[in-house]
Amino acid sequence: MIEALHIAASGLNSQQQQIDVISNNLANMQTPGYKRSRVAFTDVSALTPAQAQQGLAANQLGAGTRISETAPVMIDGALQQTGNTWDLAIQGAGFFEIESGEDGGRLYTRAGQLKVDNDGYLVTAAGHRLAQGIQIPADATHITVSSNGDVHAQLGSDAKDSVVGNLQLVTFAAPEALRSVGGNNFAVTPDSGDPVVGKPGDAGFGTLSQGYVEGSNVDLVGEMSALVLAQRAYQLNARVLQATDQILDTINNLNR
Amino acid sequence: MSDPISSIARYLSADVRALGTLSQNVANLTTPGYRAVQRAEGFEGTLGAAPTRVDQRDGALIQTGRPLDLALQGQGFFQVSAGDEQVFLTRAGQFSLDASGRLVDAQGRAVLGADGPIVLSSSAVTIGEDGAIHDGKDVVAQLALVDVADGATLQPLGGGMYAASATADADVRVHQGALEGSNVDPGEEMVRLMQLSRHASSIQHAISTYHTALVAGIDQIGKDS
Repeated sequence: MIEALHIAASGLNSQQQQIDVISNNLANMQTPGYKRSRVAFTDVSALTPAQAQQGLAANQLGAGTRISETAPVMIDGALQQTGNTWDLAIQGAGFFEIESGEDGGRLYTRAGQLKVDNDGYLVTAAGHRLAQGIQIPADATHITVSSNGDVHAQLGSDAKDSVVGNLQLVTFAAPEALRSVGGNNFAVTPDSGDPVVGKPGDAGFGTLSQGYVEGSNVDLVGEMSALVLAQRAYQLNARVLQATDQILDTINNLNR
Repeated sequence: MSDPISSIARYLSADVRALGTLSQNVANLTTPGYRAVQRAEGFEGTLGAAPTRVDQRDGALIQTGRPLDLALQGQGFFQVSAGDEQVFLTRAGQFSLDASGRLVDAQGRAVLGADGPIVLSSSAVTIGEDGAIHDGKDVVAQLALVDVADGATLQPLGGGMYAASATADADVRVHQGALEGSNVDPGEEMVRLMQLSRHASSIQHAISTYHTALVAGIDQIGKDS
């Protein structure tokens, strides 16, 4: 009979988690390639669908609210011009495939602030090598990356450009099911589907823009209004909790 | 003879039940596509579980810019299927694609089109107000939108799902890149909360008064003065 207490508590919990997600999004407003997370709220029923199908009626209508998933929102962020040779922004769908650790594990990222490591391999800002293992010759100059991923460079004293590598992208059937593992990287999950490798610019793949980084797709106004809403919803749930307590108190003192 | 205390107390139980409904609404203040539930208060309401009604008014449109977020405006529902033959109704349009390219809702249930589950090759589609899904110039699928024949039979099943005994043609517009917020009115719920809590205290007063009268009757009547 005190469902109201539990229901209000479920509301408080959900709003708390919503505020956590918003604060994480706001903290990453300036993180290149960051994809904002979104909480999907859903209501909880006192009956299972099967029970309801049998025509059972519940004493109580519901059992509160819960969060069904917290998923990244894969909308492109705005491009920011930097002019750096190895800043590559992906416009449209796709991820860079990178190596994680020694065990041959793969991670996926959209943060295209690449650099060349000591051995000449292309690595991400955190030092993960691109899974393709593209090696840039030490005497390469005037490096340009075309929108379809071809890396052109002048080698030594050659007057002509040569292609030193072809950057590829990876897409997923359900990119929003990827798991964020921190460091701006995503890991594959059973729900996301298998990685599909392709050339930038092919159907279903985005293109590369050299000299740009993709900003985070966090929308400040949207997050702030969601924060206000979450705070007020939290307050209202707390109010219900308080009023329920009051009514229970009244019941305890019926013959006062 | 009816016992006044227990009949008064029944009103108190009705208050507690109404509080459960109210807290469910408040807990889902930010649940997209949630429909507020109202318990019809009245004479019959105090005797058993009062009939409930799902508020069918539209919630506010919240722009999200995500191509597979769909909001409905007007009378109608999306249809989703949880794998078994059962089809449920929902207004929660936080859709995405699963590993096999099927359009699914936030709980992973397949969203139904005119010809069963919808399979898309990418999320970069345009969805018209009539629910037609365009990939480039071609119409690749049509969302199956229905309304309920009788709003009173609409039953909430949790997870944003609803069931109804009979369906009718939908009179609804689809908005892409937006979600429909919950239609819970916080002001209304707050007023009801105050009413409930005051009503509970007046019941307490009634019981207390009756109790005092009873005590006086038992103690005083027949006493030598």
